[in-house]
Amino acid sequence: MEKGFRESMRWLHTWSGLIVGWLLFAIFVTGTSSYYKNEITLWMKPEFHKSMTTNKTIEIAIDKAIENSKKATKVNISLPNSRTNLISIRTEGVTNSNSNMQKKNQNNKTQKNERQNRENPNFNMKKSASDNKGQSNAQENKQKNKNQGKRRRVPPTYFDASTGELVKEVTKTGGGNFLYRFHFELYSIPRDIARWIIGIATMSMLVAIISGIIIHKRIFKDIFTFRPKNNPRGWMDAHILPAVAALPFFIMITYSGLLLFTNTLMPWAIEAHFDDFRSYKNAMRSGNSEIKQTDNKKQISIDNPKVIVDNKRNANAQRGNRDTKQVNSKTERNANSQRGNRNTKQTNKNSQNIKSVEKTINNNVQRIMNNNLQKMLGKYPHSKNLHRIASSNAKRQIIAYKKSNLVEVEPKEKELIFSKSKLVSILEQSSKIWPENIGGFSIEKDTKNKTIKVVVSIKEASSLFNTRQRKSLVFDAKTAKLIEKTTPKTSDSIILNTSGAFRTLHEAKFADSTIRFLFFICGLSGIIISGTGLILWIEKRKKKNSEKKTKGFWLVEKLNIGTMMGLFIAIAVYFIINRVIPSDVASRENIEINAFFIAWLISYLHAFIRNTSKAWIEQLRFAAKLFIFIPILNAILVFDSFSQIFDRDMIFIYFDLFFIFMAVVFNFISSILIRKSKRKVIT
Amino acid sequence: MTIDMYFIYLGLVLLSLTLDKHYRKVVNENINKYIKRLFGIFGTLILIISLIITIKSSGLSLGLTYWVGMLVPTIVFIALVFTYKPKIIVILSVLLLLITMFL
Repeated sequence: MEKGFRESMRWLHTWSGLIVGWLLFAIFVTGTSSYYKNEITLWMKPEFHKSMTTNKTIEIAIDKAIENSKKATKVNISLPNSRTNLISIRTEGVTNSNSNMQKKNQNNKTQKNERQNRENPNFNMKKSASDNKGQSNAQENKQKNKNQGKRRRVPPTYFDASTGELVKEVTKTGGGNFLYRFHFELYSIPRDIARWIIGIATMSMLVAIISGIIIHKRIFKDIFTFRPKNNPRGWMDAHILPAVAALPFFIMITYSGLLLFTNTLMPWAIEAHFDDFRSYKNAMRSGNSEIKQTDNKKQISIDNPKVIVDNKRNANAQRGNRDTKQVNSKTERNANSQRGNRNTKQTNKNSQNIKSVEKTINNNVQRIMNNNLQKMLGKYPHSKNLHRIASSNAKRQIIAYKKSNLVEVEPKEKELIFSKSKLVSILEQSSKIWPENIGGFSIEKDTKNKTIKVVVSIKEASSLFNTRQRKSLVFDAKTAKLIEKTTPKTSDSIILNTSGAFRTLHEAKFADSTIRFLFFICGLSGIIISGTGLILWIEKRKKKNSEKKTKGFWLVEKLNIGTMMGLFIAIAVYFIINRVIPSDVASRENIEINAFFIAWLISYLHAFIRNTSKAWIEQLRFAAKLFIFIPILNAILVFDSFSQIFDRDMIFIYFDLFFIFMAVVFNFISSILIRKSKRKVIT
Repeated sequence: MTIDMYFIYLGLVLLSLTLDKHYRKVVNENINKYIKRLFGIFGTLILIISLIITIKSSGLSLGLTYWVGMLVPTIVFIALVFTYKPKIIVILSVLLLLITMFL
């Protein structure tokens, strides 16, 4: 430490920024686009493009709601908003007799389950396991079943908001979800490793931010300063201006990013007391925890002593064995969950019939199978076959569970039908309370008390805490009178509230269109910072390098082009490929993703082969052409007539504007570079 | 919404004019000590008012987020104006006020 403090901080800033710089750039780009993840997915399904909000939308929604409420116990309608242009309807507890749609939905769901299984064999088990800890008595089991019902609800059906037609979801696409996943799990790297890589990158971002604040002497005096000159000073300004302007955002996003990874980076405290993060959360939510936890364990040990032994052994095992542990403990908890279901049914005195006995026997068989399986897994933790069997076992159980659920719905509830005029007046009343701020409504039937409730929920969130639920108005459907006004409860746990608030901030879950756009701009400034930071490293060493060429300089220069331009080109290709491949091709989403990575790879290759300044110009021009090509291609492929192009939902018009904006930016930069290189030739 | 945004803009412009180099670009003379203090006080005051308005209109947690979020594009915008067309900042402020009044 012979150098001064500032000097060593500058060193830290340079290297902590450079080493993960390219990764950070990719994280920023994919993360920023993830603010519009749903919109991207929507864009990537051309069949959804034609729907548009009109004056009729509410009427259509009401009609559909009434139509669906005849068949189901709960109908949930979301109206189009700034993030979607469709009416989506979810139904729960559809009666068995009348439902093609239900069957179709179930098929869909099974497919979805299968897909999830392929991605992650433990998925189903994890799901059913998640709610179990910290709950012991029948009431809590009921609660749990409710939760499970929520989680496994049928996928929504979509309706055109202007014509009321059913819009079938045809196109399978990675959509915004791929970019979103890439943002924090990269691609095709084992999940834990990928999260660690991202976590390390995030940590060095935090280091770079703090050291950056220290080395920047005049934060407030230079806050509005920008000197666009082609020297390190100019690049420095371009690096500092967005960095200082969005400094609170960067600190928030980096820190909350680290907090989101608590589970991966620092799991020990939670692991010592709970099985996983989710069970910890559930325990905290349900009030208090540890006593119930031990109760639960006791119960397990009475029922099934071997399991608890296994579990303990696993808990002591090292982190390398975590995978096995997950499977083991989850199998056990899966069995436990079935026992839970059984308990609930026992409390429900009315329905003690042969079916339930059969079910019990089935469950017992399943449990024995699970236990055996789990023993085998303990012996051979790496056997892929065993894992597959475990997952398919869980799948079967879920299907069985669903079937049993369908049978349970009583036919009596058909009598519970109410008139359209009541629903209209309910919506009118609530639009007086929240003008133009109604997100959707749901019709809930209570079969026991023979009442129908209509719950109208608000569109915009009103606080950072608990954004999963929104404020809602509860009406009695028969009299159309307001029963109560509910605000979502926040948890008592300060820890959960803090981490929840950081999570909602990071993911912009609370955001309406304005703040989402502001966050998007902040994200863009993040892209600019990581980009200019990388270029700054080059610019500062250019003079030295011209005297004596080094390999490190060359490598950084090439990686800069490949990462920055390559990523944008890859994203453009991803959008184009989505439109080009027909919707009936098998494993379509994989083709999209492959195209994305191939484009990126080619860009790297091109950068390494070509002369640096030429590679910059060529790739910039190519990217500009690709981006201007997207809206044109979209207009040609999706729309039949010319008037449709202008007469569509604003979401898609914004997309086109953004693509054109990107094209203009790339063109502008490339023209600057061309002018510069010409000037060099003259002098 | 637009009025808080304008207040943030105005506060930041006043604060930026307390800095010598920006003031010189706009008015072509060095800044007076009293004007500097006046601008500083008014700028801070207006920023505080805008913060209060935002919190009042959308709650404490969301209001703070909005306010900090709105700072970002405003700062970048003002910086770009000072770089390329520093003279128009006064006219621009009046123009933006009119726009926000009519929106």
